[in-house]
Amino acid sequence: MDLQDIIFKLDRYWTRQGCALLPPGGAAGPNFAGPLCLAGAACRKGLPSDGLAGLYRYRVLLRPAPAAARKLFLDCLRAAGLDRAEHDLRWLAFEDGRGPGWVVLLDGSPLGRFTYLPAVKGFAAEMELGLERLALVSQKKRAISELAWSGKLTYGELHEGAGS
Amino acid sequence: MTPRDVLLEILSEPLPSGCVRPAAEQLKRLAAEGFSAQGVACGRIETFGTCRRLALYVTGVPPGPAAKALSKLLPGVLGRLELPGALAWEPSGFLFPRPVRGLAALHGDRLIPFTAAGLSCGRVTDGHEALGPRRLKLASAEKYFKTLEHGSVLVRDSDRLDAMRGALASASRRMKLGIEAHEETLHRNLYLAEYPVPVVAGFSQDFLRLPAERLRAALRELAFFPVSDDDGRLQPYFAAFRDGISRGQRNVEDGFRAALEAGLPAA
Repeated sequence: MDLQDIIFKLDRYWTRQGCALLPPGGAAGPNFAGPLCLAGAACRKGLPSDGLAGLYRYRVLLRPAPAAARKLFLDCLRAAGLDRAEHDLRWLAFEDGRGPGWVVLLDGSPLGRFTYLPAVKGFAAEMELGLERLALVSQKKRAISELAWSGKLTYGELHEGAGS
Repeated sequence: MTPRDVLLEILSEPLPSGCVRPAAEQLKRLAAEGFSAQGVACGRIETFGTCRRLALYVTGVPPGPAAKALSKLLPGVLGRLELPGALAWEPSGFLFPRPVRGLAALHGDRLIPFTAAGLSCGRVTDGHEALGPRRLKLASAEKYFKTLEHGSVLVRDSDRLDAMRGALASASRRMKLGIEAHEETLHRNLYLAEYPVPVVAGFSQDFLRLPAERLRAALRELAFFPVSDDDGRLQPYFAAFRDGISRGQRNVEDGFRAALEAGLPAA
């Protein structure tokens, strides 16, 4: 699946869950404390460091966190073309000061993070996915520069050798 | 009336691996105190833990008035758990390191009714997550371990440890090479997988030029096992465990190799 198709599929999946699509770092600032369901792909620049490789993230914020938040995360991977049964998925717990969560490892490498953030009532769930990692697995490629972005256009061509 | 066994399972979101064993030990101690304080006669009290569940198993509890006390006794035991990093995830105020998603409690084939952590006890649980959402119905406490095994979960810590040791030994025979089954690495894997499946993969020969201890440390950091010949010389292979079923082994082997090589300096 092309990298841009992965983004489309994730957008569709999360809008079906009732999320508003908004590139993270856009509007809907921290002053808005009401219920919120946000999703979108964004460039890492300007986002807090998350220890993932690559330039692009898919971020989702569910506030308040539904009981099925983790299941939604797993389902969105399937929507993006990842067959869970064909891979090893691990949840390594961490506590980073903002809240308890997990680094999610896909076949041994970081794929994303899932964090429960204390909110006014209960918790919010924040999810981050490394889009390059997801595309590497989906396209069975070794180097980020070889990833198909859209059709014949590669990630390498778009980014002038970045990630090669 | 024959005495029957009692099962209590707490199904949660993945627990920090370091907390499972202490939590199981605490659960055992509190259960022993609870049974004795309530005067409920019983046989052996055991507890088990995986990355997603804690299980209390008590043998030989006679039916009758004492058994009725179980629906007070068990929530009492749960309420006294004091685990590091525990938080209140829902309004009931029950504290646990990660959100609790299911409670099952049976005495023989009878449900023990109570609520805790905002959930009512049932007789269903989840199998391994890699199999997709699949609810398992527990016919009786005595059938718990077998039912879970059919759902690709080895609940008993010792079953998982034996499975891992056995898998490493047979992989070692197949390769005619030694697998360094470091105890600490085995114990880390114990609480990272509900159903450990062995993975053996190779890495680039070039990395053998690195100091052997550097390479061993990198492998252990990832909870992988070094492979060496009779003279203790490292070979360009490693063994590891994945969690779940053995489909797509190739994907996992390639992924584990990439994760290892990414963490090593160019040789």
